[in-house]
Amino acid sequence: MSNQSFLDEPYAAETQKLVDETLRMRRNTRILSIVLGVGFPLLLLSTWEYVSQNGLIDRRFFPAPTTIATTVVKILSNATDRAVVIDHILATLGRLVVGFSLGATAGVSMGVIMGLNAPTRFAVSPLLYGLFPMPKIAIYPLVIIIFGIGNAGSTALVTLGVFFMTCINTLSGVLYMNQIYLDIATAFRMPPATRWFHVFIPAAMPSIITGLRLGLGQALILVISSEFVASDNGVGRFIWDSWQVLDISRMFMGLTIVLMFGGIAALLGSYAERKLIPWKQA
Amino acid sequence: MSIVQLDSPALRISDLRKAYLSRDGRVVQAVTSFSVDVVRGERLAILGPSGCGKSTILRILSGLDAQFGGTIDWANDASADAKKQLRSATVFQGESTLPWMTISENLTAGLSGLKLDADTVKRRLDHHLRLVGLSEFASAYPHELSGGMRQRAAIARALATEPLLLLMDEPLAALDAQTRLIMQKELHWIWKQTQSTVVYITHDIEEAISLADRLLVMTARPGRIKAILDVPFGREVEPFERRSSAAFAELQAKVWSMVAEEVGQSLTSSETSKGASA
Repeated sequence: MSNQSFLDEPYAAETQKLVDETLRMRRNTRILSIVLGVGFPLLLLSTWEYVSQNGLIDRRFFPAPTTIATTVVKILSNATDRAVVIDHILATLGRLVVGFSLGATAGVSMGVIMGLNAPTRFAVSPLLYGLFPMPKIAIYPLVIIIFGIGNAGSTALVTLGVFFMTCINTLSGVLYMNQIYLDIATAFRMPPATRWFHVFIPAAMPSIITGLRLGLGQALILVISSEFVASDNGVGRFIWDSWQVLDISRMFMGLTIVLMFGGIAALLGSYAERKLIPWKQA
Repeated sequence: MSIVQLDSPALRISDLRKAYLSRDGRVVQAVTSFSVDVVRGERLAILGPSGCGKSTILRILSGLDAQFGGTIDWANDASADAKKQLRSATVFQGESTLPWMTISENLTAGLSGLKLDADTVKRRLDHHLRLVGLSEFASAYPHELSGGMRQRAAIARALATEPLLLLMDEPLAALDAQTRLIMQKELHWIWKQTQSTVVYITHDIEEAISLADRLLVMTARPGRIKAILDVPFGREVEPFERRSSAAFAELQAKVWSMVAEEVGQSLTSSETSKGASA
């Protein structure tokens, strides 16, 4: 509206030129970012294709992208093979979903309780911070003794990894939340339910989301590595089997599936961020 | 609006004392022998140099700090149902809206400690949002509003509890100079509508004279009452009108010299203590 009246003035042409120029520069920047973002990975892929096709690297271990793609198409077009791949994917996905849900629920709850209740914090945080640096895969043998090889063991390991990540991040979110929120809750004599669910947890939400995102990455690492070590199925098993029979193209297909899991996880993370902490958006 | 009976105290503060234990184990007297009657419906501004115990008094009056000496007698507290009314509601310095809630949810959260039926809550929300001019923004989130509007929302949240005492802790300090002047005018108008009893904490002498009925000037630490001065304007006189009168400048100069004396004293005393410890 104010733009409109501006254009009626004697400098309308000059203003219009400025507007056009600015819009053009913005458009160019956007185009450049897309071209480079898509183009650079494509360049790397075609370099790989070239050096592999021309025998500059060992084709047995680094098959060309097109060779891998052919293998993928071949596997997916065969009904039996396709079913096998889908079973592997579903096995891994099940462990991720169950392990992540259990771990995140426990981690966030424990983090909030520790943040708001000092005795619990005093009792638990030495343990929490003491055990946190332990690579979770290192205690997989112990987990197997308790939960057995396969689904339960793998899921338990994921749960554990996600628990630590979400608990520690939630705790720091609650401990370092803006003290004004605590003052508001006290000064307005808010009842406990309001304090927790409408003040403290939302105040810690940015940290909680960070914990969830890190937890998701951790979950992916743990599910694949536990499947490497001991499992009958899953994408990790799929990759490891392919490697052992030197079906490298099939192995690369497994890696691609893991990448897709990671991509979906990242998308879920930013979706959660947009939905749950809209006020943090610029 | 109820008719306010002036001159009856809303609260009587007698010999308020507060000492802290500092990090290195020394006892620091923040406030001592602080006695004042806050009259019903009056606007009392508490002024003083930084570190004089203004925030200490605020935290005690707002119920954030229960460890203090002396007594605070809430005159109407016995008759008021504690479940239906807050003794004091605070407008905090700086951002204090909850960013994950809409404006009306912020107000509802402020009422969550009171036993009010849904109709009353809705009526209070409507009324107080209209009072601060935010009716159209009830379902907006704080980050969608300007700083001045967010502070108006915080004011509405405090007012909606219809407290015995409205506490304001430098509520305009975080705003830019122009918004601050506009908000002073609005505060004056809002208080006229609500007839609230207000304790207004500030370090801004001009703002205090523009808004208050009485000024309470504090000494440097330990905070005592240095003087209580009447502001020589009718309470109906607007901030802008007040500032353009000769009496304003006169009072401002008088208060400034009082505060300057205290600031000077706190500077010399901190220097002597530094010298002593060296």
